[in-house]
Amino acid sequence: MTSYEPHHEASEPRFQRDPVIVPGHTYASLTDRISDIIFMPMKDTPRGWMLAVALASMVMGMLGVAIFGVLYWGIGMWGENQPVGWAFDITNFVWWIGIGHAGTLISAILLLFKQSWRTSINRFAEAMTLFAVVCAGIFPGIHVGRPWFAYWMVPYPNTMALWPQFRSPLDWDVFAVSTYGTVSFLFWFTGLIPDFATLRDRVKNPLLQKLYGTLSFGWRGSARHWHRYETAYLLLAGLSTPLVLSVHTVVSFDFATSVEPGWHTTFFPPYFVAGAIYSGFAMVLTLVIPTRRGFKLHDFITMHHIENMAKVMLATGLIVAYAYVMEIFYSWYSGNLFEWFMMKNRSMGPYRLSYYLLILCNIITPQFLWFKRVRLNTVALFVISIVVNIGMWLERFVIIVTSLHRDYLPSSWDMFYPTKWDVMLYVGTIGLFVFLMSLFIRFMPMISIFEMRHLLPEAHVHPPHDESHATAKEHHA
Amino acid sequence: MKREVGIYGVVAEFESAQALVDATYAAKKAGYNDIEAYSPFPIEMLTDIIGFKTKLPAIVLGAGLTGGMTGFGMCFFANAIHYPADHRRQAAQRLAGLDSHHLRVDDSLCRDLCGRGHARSQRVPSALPPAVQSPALRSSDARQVLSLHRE
Repeated sequence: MTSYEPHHEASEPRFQRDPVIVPGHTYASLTDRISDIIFMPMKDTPRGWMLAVALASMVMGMLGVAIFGVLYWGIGMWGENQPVGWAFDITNFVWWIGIGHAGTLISAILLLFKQSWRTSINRFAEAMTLFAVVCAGIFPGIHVGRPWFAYWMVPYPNTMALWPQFRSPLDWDVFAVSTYGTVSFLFWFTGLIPDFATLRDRVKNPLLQKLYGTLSFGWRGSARHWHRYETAYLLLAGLSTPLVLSVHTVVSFDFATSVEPGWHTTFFPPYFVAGAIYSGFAMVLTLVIPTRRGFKLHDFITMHHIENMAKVMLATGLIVAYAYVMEIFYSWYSGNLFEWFMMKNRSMGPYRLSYYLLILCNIITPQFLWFKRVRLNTVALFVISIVVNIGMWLERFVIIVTSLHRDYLPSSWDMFYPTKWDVMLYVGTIGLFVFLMSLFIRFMPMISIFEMRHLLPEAHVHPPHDESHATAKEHHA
Repeated sequence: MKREVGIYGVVAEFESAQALVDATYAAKKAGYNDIEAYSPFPIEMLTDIIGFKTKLPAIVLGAGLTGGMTGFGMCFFANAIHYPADHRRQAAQRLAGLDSHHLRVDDSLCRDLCGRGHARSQRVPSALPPAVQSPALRSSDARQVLSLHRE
């Protein structure tokens, strides 16, 4: 074949597995099936969706209370105090930022590797990334104590002649996370433009027509549009790819650049990035499995996708397991009294329960994914994905709190216990996340319509039969 | 004014992506240049046949370089030009020319004035406890005060 061979043919699985789209669909049936979710009357909405939105709204009320309380009375409402000056807020921040990484990996890296199985889940995962960044941003935003001065984190020439501390990894965080949020949004929105045009052409309500028309920037689907679109999308993928690695690397620097025992290690960046992708894929599975069932998307999100995600989870989970072992080894091998004490305190001290739960959730549970029967069982996968989410939260908690609560000076050792305000804020952001995700899957095309059309056999195009591509170019010249 | 009557242009609809590609190719070969094709998903071959070019990569490169240099320039400006200690250092160096012992120095100034000092070199050797200091020297009013001592 010539270079015209469509990429999805080349990347078709060699073994007999579920296809990336169930055969029998046409352009029209695809478009109908995905856009019907958006246009369906409220009474036809699945019960589960209604329930999710109702619950999430209530939890968001709690988020409002939690934010109000902390703003009104100050962050003393949280359980953190010296020596644990950083606890739930940074744990939750890292957890949420990490979750976003799967979206970027699926949308950018799998695009560059021309993996056709990314197509039906990329939009969904990108939205997850975006909402996870929103939830993550809440924590440092509030923890600064006076969030109305949060703009002080941004460098700008001011009358106080003050600049941010450019040598602080916390300042790098500001840049890393804001870049990440911006690029993720652009990537997500660029992908949505042709689909907004499809919705504009199908919706009856003139107001919505205007709205979708504006959002689609007057997309007409001409070959010129597609050419620019594809160029832009590829460039954005190129820009996002380093972000998959860099954002969580910078987050890990928050710890690694300090001299705290247990934090001051060079393997934090790869360890954190692997953990981020691990937790991100777990979250994609947690969200995709009920959505697929609720909206009956079995034709588009097949077991092929779900199994692949489970495999990525297993692979990254093994990297994380390796990191845990190395953490123990190096705290001994460093010959540093405080590092070794930190490890003993982590595994035998007052927080040992969270450490062993973490091993159970993150190392032992994913080993079930070696079995194909487990990978093909959505209920089992759903449970495992939630266990991994919990485990990854515990990982950050253990790293942060066990290092801080007993470091060099025994006279300043103390315990950290979360208050109800800590818990309310954390659970509240989960409510916000579920709420945003629910709105997204109901009112926006959660699966890329045009990319799915591209997967159909009818979309495979061969070079014009009479001449080769080379002569066509010569002719044009 | 005479109105021209005739065919201005032709639009054709095709059943399949393959038919569209074949027709575009045939039209191009027949010498038509102002062609535009519409499709519900990207067909990369159409771009090659019609021969579009886009400036987008150049624009993105330009924007990226601008952003990168602005970011670096901002860090440079903030740390090397606009950093407030630099302004204080000039005044401090003038004072130090008078009597370097009677200069209270902070960390960043100490690096310039005392070399790599330790805590003792940062302390004014003849500093008096607040209780015995002259009130004039501690006054918060704006006055022209120059404190000079001799051991």
